[in-house]
Amino acid sequence: MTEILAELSGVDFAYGQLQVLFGVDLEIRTGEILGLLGTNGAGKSTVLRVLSGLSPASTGTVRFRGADVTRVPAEELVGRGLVMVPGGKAMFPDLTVLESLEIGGRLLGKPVRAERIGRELERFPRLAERRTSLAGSLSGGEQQQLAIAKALLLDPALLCIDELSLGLSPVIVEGLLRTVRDVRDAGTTVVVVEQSLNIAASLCDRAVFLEKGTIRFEGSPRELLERGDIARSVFLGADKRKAG
Amino acid sequence: MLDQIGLAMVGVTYGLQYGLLAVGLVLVWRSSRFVNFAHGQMGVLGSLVLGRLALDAHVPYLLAVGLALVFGGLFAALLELVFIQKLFNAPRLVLLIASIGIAQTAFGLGTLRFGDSWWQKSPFLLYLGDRKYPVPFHQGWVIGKVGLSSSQVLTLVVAPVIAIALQLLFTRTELGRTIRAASSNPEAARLAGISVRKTSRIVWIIAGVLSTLTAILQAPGVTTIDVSNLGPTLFIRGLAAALLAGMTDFRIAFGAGVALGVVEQLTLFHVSSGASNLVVFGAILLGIVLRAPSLARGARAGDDRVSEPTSIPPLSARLQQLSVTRNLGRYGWAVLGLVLFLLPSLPGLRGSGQAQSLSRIIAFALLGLSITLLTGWAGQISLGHAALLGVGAYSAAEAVRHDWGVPLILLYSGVVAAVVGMVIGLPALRFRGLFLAATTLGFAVIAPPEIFRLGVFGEKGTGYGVVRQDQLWLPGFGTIDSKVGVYRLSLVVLALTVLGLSQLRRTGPGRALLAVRDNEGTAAAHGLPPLAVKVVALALSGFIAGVAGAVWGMASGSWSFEAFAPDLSLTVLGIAIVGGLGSLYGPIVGAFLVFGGPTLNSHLNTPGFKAFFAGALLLNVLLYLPGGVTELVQRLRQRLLMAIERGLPERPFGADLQALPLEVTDVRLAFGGIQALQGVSLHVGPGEIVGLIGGNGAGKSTLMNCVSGHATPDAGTISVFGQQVAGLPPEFRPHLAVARTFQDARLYPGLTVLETVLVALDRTDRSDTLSALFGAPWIRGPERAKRAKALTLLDKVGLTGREHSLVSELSTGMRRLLDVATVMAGAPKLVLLDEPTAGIAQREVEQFAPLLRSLRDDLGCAIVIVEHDMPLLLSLCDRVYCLENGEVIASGTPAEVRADPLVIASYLGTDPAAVARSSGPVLTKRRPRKESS
Repeated sequence: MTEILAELSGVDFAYGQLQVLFGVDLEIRTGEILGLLGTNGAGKSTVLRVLSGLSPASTGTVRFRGADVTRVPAEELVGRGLVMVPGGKAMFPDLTVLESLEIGGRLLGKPVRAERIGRELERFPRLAERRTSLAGSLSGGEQQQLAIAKALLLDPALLCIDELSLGLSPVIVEGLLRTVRDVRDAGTTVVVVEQSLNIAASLCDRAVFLEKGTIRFEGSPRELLERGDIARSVFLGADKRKAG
Repeated sequence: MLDQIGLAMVGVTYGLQYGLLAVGLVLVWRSSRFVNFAHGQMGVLGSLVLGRLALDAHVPYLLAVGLALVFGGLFAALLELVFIQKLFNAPRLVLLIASIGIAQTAFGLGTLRFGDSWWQKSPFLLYLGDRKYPVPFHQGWVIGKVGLSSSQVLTLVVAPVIAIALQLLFTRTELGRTIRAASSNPEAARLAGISVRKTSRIVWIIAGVLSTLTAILQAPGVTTIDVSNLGPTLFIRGLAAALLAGMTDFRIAFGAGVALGVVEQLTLFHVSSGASNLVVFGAILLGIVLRAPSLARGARAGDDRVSEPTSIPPLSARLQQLSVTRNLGRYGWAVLGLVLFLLPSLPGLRGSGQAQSLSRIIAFALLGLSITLLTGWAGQISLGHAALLGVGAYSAAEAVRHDWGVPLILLYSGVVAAVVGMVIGLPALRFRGLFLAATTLGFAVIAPPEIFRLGVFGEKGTGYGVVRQDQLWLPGFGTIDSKVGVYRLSLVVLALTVLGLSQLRRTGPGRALLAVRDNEGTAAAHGLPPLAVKVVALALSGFIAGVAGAVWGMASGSWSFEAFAPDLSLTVLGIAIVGGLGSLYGPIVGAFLVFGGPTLNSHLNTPGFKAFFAGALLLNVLLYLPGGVTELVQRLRQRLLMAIERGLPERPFGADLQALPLEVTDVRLAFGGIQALQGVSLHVGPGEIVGLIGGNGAGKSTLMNCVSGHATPDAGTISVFGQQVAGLPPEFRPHLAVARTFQDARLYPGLTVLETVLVALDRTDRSDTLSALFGAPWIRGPERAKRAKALTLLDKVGLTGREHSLVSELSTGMRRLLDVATVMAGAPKLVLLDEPTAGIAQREVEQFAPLLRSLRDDLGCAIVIVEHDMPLLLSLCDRVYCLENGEVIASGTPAEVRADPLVIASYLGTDPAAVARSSGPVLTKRRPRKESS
C-alpha cells in the first residue's frame, strides 16, 4: 500500500471566463517521480499552479500531507514542504546567484542555510563559478540549475518542476535528470511537467496524460508510449511548438 | 570660480532633494509598479508634525524628528492598507490616480485651518502659519559670493547619508534582498515563501519615512512653509530623475537628481528661468526616450483602464413598448439641460458673480469631456489639461483683440490648443504606457510661469489675459452683454460638444480610439495606425480643452497666469474620474460635484479645502464607485426601470374582463413537416371549465402552448380577454391574468413548500431587495401578510403540515397540488392546466375535481384543462372539445361528446373516419395512442 502525499480531487480551474481544468483527480504517491504530460494548453502547468497554491482551485479540493490546503497560499505551502519551480520564470533577474540562493533558503536558520547553499553549489559547480553574476545574465541551463538549487535548499517533501527540459541542451538535461533521480532517492517526491515523452519515459515512475483540462491516461510511461493515439498528439503538439 | 562652485553647491542642495524624491518614486515603483504622485505630500504631514512638536510643544529637535518619522511611516502604512491592499490587483492607472487623490487630500489636511485664533491651540491641526520651520543648528556657509543657509547645509550633510543608508539596506540586508526579490519576480518570491503583500507594506513604511525626511529637509528652504512646494513643481523634477534611472536604479536616480539640480541652478543663473525650466522638461523627455521602451515592456494589458467597461442592459419587452422608457436617455438630457439653463435664475445663484462662477464650471465640464475623450476612450492620461485650458484662454484673449467674434474665437482657441497638445504629446505617445502623464505634467508645471507669463500666447510680458465683454459678439445676434449671456453661450458650446462627441463615439473614428486603446496589435492588423489614432485623440482632446479655455476666458474677463497652476490639472482629472470616464453627462455632473461647492460658497473657497474635497471625492469614487457618476446613473436608471415595470398596470394591453376569457380562431401550426394544429377554433366563456381531450399527438398540449405563449402559431388568432396574444412571449400572460401549470410540475426543488408559494405571491407584491436585506420595519408587515396568505392557500389545497418540506421531497400528487396553489396565488382569471393528474395515485385524483371547482368558484376564473382521466373530466367540465390530428372533431357537454361517434371511433380505434379522411393530409409520424382511463 503506497502512501499518498498529495491529492487533487474534482478540481476545476478557470482564468476568468476561460476554464482550463475540468474535474481533475490526481494522486501523488510518496517517493515517486510523477510525470504530467500533455499537449500545449492541456492544463499541465495549471495543475501545478493549483497544487502549489499559486492559483487556488475554483472548485474541488487539494490535500497535502493529509491536510486540506485548497486555500493555502503558495508562500505558506513552501514552509510546509511543498516547493515549486515555475517554468521559464523561476529566477530573480536583479539578484545575484548567491542572493537568489539566500532568498530561496530564507526560511532556514542561518547556519543551516549556509551549509545547504554550500551543498547545492557543490551539486551545481557552474553556479559556484557564477555566484556573483546577476541571475538575469545566466544562460537558460544555468537559470534552470539555479531554480532547482533554490528549491532543493529547503529539502522539500514534494518538489514540483514545471517544464524541466524546455529549451535546454541534451547535456544539461541529462545532468538535471540525474539530479532529479538523486533527489527522489534522497526521499523527495517529485512531480514534473514534461513536454518530451522520451524524457518522461526515462525519468518517471508514473505518468499522467492530460488533454483539454481532463486526465486522459494514468499509468506507467511505457504503456503511454505504446498508446499510439496519445503519443501522436504529444508529438504533434511538439511539432506545432517548433513551427511557432 | 568660487562663485561658480557656490552656485553649484546651491544646485546640489536642490538636487539632493530631487534625488531623495526620485529614490522614493523608484522604491514604490519597484514594489507596486506605479508612479506614486503622493510621495512628496505623504511626508508633508510628518514634517508638519515635527514643526508643531518643536514649535508648540517644545519637544527636543531630535526626539521630534523621531516622532515625525514614526508618524510618516504609520501614515504610509495606513495608506498602503486602505488603498494599495484594496487595489492590489487593480489596473495601475487606478493606483496612479488614487495617489493623485492622496496627494490632494494630504495637501488639504496640511493647510486646513478654521479661523486664525483657533489653529494654534488645536493639537490636531497641522497648519504652521508663517512661523519659521525648526532646524537643528544655525550655521550657514559662504562660498564666494554665494551663501548657503543652515537648512541647505543640513541637506548637504543628511541627504547623502540617507541615500547611502537606503542603498546599504537594499544591498546588504536580508530585508533588502527580500524586497528586491518580491519586486523582481513576485511569483518566484511567493514560491520562496515571501508574502508579497507583507513586503509591499514594509516598502511603503520605508517610503513614508523617506518622504518625511525629504519634506523635513525641504521645509525650511522657504520662510513660509508652503506644502504645495512638494506638489507638482518639485515632483516633476524627482520624476525626471526617476525616469532617467529607468524607475529601477536607486543610485542613478539619486545621481540624476543631484545633476539636474546643479544644471538647473547654473542655467537659472547664467541664462534664464525659462531655460532652467526647459532643462527640467528636457530631462523628462530624455528619460522617456531612453527608458520608455524597457518600461513599456512591463506594462500589462488593461493597466490603462479605470474601471471595467459595462454595457447598458437592454430594456425588457414590456418596457420596450413604452416611449418613456425607450427615450429615458433623451429625457435625462432634457432634464439636465433644463436644470443647467435655469441655474442662474435660482435663488442664491442670481447675480453676475454667480453667473461667472457657473460659466467657469461649464468650462471645467468641457475640460472634463476633453479628458473623457482622451483617457476614457483613447486610454491615454494627461496631467496637463489645465495648461491647455490656459492656452485656450490666452488664445481667446488674442483673438478678442482682433475682434473676431465668438465663433472664430472658439475655433482659434481650439486649434491652437490642439496643436500644442499634439506637440507635447507626440514624444510620449510613441510608447505604450502612461508616459503622456509625464510630459503633460511637465508642460503643466512650466507653462504658467514661462509660457503664459512671458506671453507666448497673448499680450507680451505681463502674464495677464483680458477678454472684454463688449467685444464678444455673435454674427446675427449682436453683443453678449451680460455674464448670464456668457453662461447661456457656454451652455450652447457644451451642447454642441456633447452632440459632436456622441456622434464621434458612434462612428468610425470613435471606434478606432477604443480599438487602439484595447488592443494596439489587432487594431493595427485591421489597418488602424495606433500612433496616428492616438495623435488624433490628443488633437481632438486638445481642441475641446482649448474651447473650454476660451469659455473660461470669456467668463473670467481677466486673469493672471497663476490661475493655471499645475494642481488644477490634477483636480480636473478628478472631474473626469468622478464623472466615470464613460458617458458624456458624467463630466458635467462631475464638474459640479468637484467645483460646485467651493466655487459657489466663498467660505469653502480656500486652496486647502478645495484640494481636500476634490481628493477625498476622487478616492471615494475609486474605492467604492469605480464607474463614477456614470455608474451611479446607470444603477439609478436600472432601479427606475424596475419601478416603472412594477408600477405598470396588471393588464397593460387593455384586457377586458367582460370579453371572452379565451377565443381561438383557426389556429394552425406545423413543426417541420408535421401539421400539429390544422385550424383549431374554440372558445371559453367566463367561469367555464373546459376540457380538451384527444389521443397523444392530437395537438392538445400544442394548443395549450400557443395560448400560454410557449409556442407561436403560424396562422390564426388567439384572443385572451379581448387581447390578441398570438406570438406574444409567455411573460406577458400573468399581466393578462393567465396562469398555467406544466405536466412535469417541477417547480423549485430546492425551496420549501411555503417559499414556493411566496415566490408566486412575490410577483404581485414585491418587496424591494435592499429593504429586505436590512429587515426594514416597513416591509415586515407586508411580509407577514404574505405568509398568512400563503398558508391560507396551502390550507386550501390540503398541504397544511407540509409547509417546510422541500419541494423535492413531495410526491408527484402533492407537487401538483402545490402547483395549483401557486397558480391561485396570482389570482388569475384564466387558468390553463396541463394534465394535472398525470402520474398520481387514484386517491389523489379524487381530490382534484372538488379542488378545481372551488378554485373556479373562489377566483371566478375560467379553466382550460388537458386531461386523460376521462371520469375526472366528465365530472368536472362544463364543456369538452375533442381533438384529433390537430383538428376539433367534436365539442359539447361531456355527455354529448362521450356519445359522439367520431370520439368513440377515435378513442376505441375502430376508425370509420380514417377512411373518410384518407384523402386529407396524412401525418407522416404519429405516436401510438395511450389510454389512461
